[in-house]
Amino acid sequence: MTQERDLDHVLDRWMDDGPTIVADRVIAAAMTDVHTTRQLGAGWAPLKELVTTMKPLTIAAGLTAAVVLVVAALQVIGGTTNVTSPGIRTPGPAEIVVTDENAPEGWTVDTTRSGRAVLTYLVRYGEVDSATGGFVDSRATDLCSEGQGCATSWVAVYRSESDADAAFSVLHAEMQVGWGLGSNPLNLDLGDDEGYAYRNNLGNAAASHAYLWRKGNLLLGVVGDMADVEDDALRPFAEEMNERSR
Amino acid sequence: MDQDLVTRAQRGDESAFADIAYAIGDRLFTVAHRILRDVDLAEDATQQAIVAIWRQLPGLRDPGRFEAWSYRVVVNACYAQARAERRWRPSLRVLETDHSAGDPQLSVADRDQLERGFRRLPPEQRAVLVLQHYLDLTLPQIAELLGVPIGTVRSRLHYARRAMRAALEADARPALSGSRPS
Repeated sequence: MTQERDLDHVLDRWMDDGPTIVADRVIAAAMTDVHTTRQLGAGWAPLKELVTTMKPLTIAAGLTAAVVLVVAALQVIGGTTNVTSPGIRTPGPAEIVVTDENAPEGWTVDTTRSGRAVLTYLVRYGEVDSATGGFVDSRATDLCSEGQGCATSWVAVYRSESDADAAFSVLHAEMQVGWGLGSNPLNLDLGDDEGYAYRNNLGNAAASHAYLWRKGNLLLGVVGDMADVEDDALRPFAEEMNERSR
Repeated sequence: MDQDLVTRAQRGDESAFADIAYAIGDRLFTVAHRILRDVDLAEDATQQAIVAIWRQLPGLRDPGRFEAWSYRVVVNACYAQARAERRWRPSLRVLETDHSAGDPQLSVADRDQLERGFRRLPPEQRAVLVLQHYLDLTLPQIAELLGVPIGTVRSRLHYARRAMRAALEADARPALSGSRPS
């Protein structure tokens, strides 16, 4: 017992040694990252408030109008564009992301984004250059369900498999360190070349789930919002995207 | 921590979050340094933890629990740093112990042995030692903070303490890391 107390005493004193003040530049650098970093679920807050305060008939009318607009927009901007590169043919990102036409029942598209800026949804602004080698195009759709929260369907296409593999490494690290999602990512088992399911393990915070996988020169992702989007709700998105990427 | 600041930051107020970041920065860094035993790595972990806190903040259900939650985020950032460190650096290297600093009641040999023993521990065991001996948390508090069963905390603590005791009791053997720079 005395030996135990001695060890406690030694460890207490030893732990007290060492620096206790962080350099201001560290906080400043973090705040620079913060300035260009989207909060999980932040983009959905106004939509959620709107949905909970509107009458059902108004919601239905709004959603119908949104669906019509999205379908029209997709036809105008050429949603069936194929991206080709020497030796590799893949469906374009617009053909793979989940849309209103193939979304699970109850989910509708809120916004659609495309181009290099879509990368910054998953990669911090300061790190995004490290994921753009061989980058060709990407697209993301944000979908919401009244009862289940919101989720993002995300696809990026790269010139070659090795370019996509390099970007995958960046994103895989980013999901864990930048987003703080899951210290033990699980293999996805989607017939992918490499892929993981992530979950945050921050106590007292709503659960957050994400999938990220690579198929050849494609990177695919599904990210759940903080509003308790369950893992089971994300899987159909991943399977749908997987099917459409063949 | 001012709960109003936390609530404003949860709604995306960067100015409120900057106040929070400067208020908690020292505490996060100090814990990170005790776990990682390296200033550069601790600074990186602190920076990553602050960004992760910002990202995850809207999901924090009880702003009153912000402080404990922020420690959990920085511990996770330390795990990530420790894994990255393992990939990039050799596992044995010259210790950067400042012999002129520290508690005069601990001998230089003791501190060297503690340092050496601690660096051999996996990050999960380091974290429970730091939470118990630096933050003075109880076992149930550590279990809640880390989100693991109390039995897991007890087990990690048992192995960590056994390793630290063995390190202290070890004779002053020659360092495995080779000769020190002169």
